Amino acid sequence: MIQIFNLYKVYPDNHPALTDINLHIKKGDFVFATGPSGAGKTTLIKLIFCAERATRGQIIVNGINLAKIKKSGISYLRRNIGVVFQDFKLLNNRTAYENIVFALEVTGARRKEIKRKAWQVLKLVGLQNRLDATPLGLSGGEQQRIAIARAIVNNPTILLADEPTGNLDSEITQDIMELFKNINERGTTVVIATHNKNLAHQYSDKHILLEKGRVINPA
Amino acid sequence: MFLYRLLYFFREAFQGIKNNRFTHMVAIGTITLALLTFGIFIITVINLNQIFDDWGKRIQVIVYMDEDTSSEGIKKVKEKIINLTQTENIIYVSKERALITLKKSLHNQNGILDNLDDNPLPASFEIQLKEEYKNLQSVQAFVARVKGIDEVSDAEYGQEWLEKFSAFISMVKLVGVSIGCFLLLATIIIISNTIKLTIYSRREEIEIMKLVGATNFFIQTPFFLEGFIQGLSASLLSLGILFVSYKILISKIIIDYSLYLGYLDLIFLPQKLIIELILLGILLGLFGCAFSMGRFLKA
Repeated sequence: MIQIFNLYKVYPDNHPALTDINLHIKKGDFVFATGPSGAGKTTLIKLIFCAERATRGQIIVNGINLAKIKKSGISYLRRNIGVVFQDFKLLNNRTAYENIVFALEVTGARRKEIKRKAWQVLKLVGLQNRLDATPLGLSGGEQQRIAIARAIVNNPTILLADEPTGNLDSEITQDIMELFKNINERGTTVVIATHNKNLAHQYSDKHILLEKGRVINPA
Repeated sequence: MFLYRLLYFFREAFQGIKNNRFTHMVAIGTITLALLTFGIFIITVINLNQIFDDWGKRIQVIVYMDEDTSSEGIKKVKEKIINLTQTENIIYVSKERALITLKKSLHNQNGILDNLDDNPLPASFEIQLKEEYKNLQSVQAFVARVKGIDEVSDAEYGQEWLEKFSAFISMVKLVGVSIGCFLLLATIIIISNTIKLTIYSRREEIEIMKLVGATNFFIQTPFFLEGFIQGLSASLLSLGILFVSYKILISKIIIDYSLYLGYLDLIFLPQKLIIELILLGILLGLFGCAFSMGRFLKA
């Protein structure tokens, strides 16, 4: 599903973010990338959905070599990868329902299909009664659920999450993790970046431990 | 499918305008002000041209005859001048007529002419030229030909005045074009900066659209529609303000001051220029949008 060979990422200020990374994440895996802040977790996630480009090496996602993907191909790649962030990245001037529908509309989906899929994910994240609320009217946990709903509404094969529970208390964190687990059980490969090792150990035994841009124990 | 997408783009554009009312108002205000300045400039140039055209119509050539020309000779000269392509109208002024006119123009002091033994004034022709020949080069060419006729002693056309007038018109045109180009450039810079600000304020929205897999076409189209709507509203607004101001100017100032200014027939923008100004507004909106979007879509 995700294969990484001899990957290097050096930022323009000559700071090496990732050094010689080799990984293989299989279809249906539930993987945690852990490590202290600055270890390269976010860079790894960004490279997988093409928000950053590798300095050297290869990343193959769903059989597509990201080193060779054209700009126009990135949009289509992203429809197969859902991404969730610590700060949710929701549009505050749209309702919860509109935030989810938005991800379907930009792919040119039909209206009937949009309605059906949006309802499906709203039910999955348990927020079918909050669809008219704007993000500012929702709690942190609810906002993250909407962000997750938006990420999976296109039925992506991969779900990436960068510190998805960083802004949430421990009780809500457990709920969100259960939701990720649930999504994984439906067949989606899930990769979560977190500094919280305990959380990683609690939910999976597949860990990528990063330190100063290097993998300490490949998954 | 196509209709549904089109509907989506329009809905997004109007949603964008609604959600970013303030920045849109600033952008529309900026384009309106720029077009207004441009419109005032164009109206001024058009009206100045009109006035100059009016002055230009007063150009006439006076041809003086030799002292001893017979009435037969005068007829011949008249024939020759009428046959010249430049001639529109010709009036003969006899020696006697010239003296009467001079006396009239001297009013109370016409006594100074009483002691004359002989009428010293020559017979002459006053010639109006056709519209297309009322310019310095054509008048000079016409005068040269007329002077070549045997019985003609001299011809004049207010040389000094016409030369100065021509130089003035050329200068006004040059200054006008320079100011026009400068204004247009300044307008484009101001508009693209304003729209850059409106798009900058929505970079998060663009980032999220890219994140969920929207193509650049999908992201850009509603913004271009917004640019189109901005340009169209701004050009209509500026035309409205221009028209109202023009009407007020006509009804108040011109009527109140017509005694001092003489009769001034101020004209508004002709239809062709109105359409061009609307198109310019739309183009400015679209151009500013395209110019500012580029950098946000690069990554």
